[in-house]
Amino acid sequence: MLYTDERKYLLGIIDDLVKYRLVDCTGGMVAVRCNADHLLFSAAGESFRRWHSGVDDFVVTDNAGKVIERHERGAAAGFLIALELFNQFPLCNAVLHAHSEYSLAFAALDLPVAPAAHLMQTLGEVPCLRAEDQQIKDESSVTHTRSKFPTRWTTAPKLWPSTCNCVPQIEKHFGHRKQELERHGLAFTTYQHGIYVFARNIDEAFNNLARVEASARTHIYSSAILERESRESLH
Amino acid sequence: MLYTEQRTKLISVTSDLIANELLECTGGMLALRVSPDHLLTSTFGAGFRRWRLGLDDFIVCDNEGNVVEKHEHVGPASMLMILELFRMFPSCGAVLHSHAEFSLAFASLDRTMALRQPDLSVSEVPCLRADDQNIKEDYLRNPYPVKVPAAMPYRPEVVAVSQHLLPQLKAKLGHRGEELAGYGLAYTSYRHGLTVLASNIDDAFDAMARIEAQARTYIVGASITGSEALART
Repeated sequence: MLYTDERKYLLGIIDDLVKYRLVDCTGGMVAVRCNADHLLFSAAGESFRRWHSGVDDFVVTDNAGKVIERHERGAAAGFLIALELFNQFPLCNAVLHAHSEYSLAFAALDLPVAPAAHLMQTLGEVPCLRAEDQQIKDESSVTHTRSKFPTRWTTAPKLWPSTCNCVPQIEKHFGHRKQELERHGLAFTTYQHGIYVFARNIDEAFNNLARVEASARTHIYSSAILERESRESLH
Repeated sequence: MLYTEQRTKLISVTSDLIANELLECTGGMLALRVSPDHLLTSTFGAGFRRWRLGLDDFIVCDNEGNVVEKHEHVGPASMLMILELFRMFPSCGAVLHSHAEFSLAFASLDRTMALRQPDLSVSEVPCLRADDQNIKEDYLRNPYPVKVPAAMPYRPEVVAVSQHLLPQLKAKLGHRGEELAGYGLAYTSYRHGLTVLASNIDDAFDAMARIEAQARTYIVGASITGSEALART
């Protein structure tokens, strides 16, 4: 089995993501660059199995997405975006995707997450990427995308077009920010879906995910305080 | 290794802080007065390392911030504030700092919290305000001499921020030292987090839990009182 140390480290990361309530059982993905040629992704369906992951619940691919080693299942739904991040950003060595509860509320409303506290200041605003064309899930788009997709990828095909449509927006939002990865990670949400964080290493990606989530939560709670104050001032 | 019992206790307290959703991995700090001359604190980056603490993940310093015993990591960036708290309040035995979720919302709005204590008295949790980003940027553009305690990372710009907070700390809490014999004292820092001080670490934990519970109750209560369904009843 390739990259057992990396697999074990990612299992520890998954445990901590669950412990700190940054990932839930509706979806998510962890991925790292193992070396210049190989990437390691958590497998599809790990969240459905409530993150009871083992060392064989990962997929190794090359930089084009070609499978080098897999066991029972293929890569998770966030695979295509993660692959794009690894390829577009040479400094990116780790990607986390989660349906974390507070940032998801912003993603559901197509809103960016602005820094609500000092802990988020370095990352700046987290944009929401939205596929412009709402017809992208048409069968024609699926067919078009399927033809371009890396082989032996097993996640639900209906997710492919919306995922592909976000890819050009990654370049638009982050193409000019590549060097920031030398100092901190970067993050975005996808509309009605969840958050992606990418960074130099998986520990930094984890920390930056926690920061975005804390910021999103603080915005939501602050808004509740302001609303209550406003209501009470009327009485 | 000095103070192994106290280190073990702090590891246990850290586990309980996490289990009770009072501490997350974006930051935080635990500090104890372990003798008249020595302080024991968690280290810089402990939150980043997701609070996987061992006995050597602490630093012992004297009351001036000089290192007495250190292993891999230095002390927290907030060391100057910690030193001042122990200096200002001789009966303070423990300090906890956290980005606890509900009080952080109040801190992000620069709100003072009115805290109802178990004896039904009300005490204030003031918010100390410093424009961190501008102070740090100003300092880095035009540095001036500051004394960085040896037990913290060499971050003079953070010391500059602490120097803006210290006069507020004295003005807002300096006259309330006797409360340490009761339920402890607390303040938030604007857009940053909650700091609690008490005579011992268990009291500090308890004070933090009660502050968070009251902040949570206010915020969750806002959702109830604002709901249309309730308004119709």
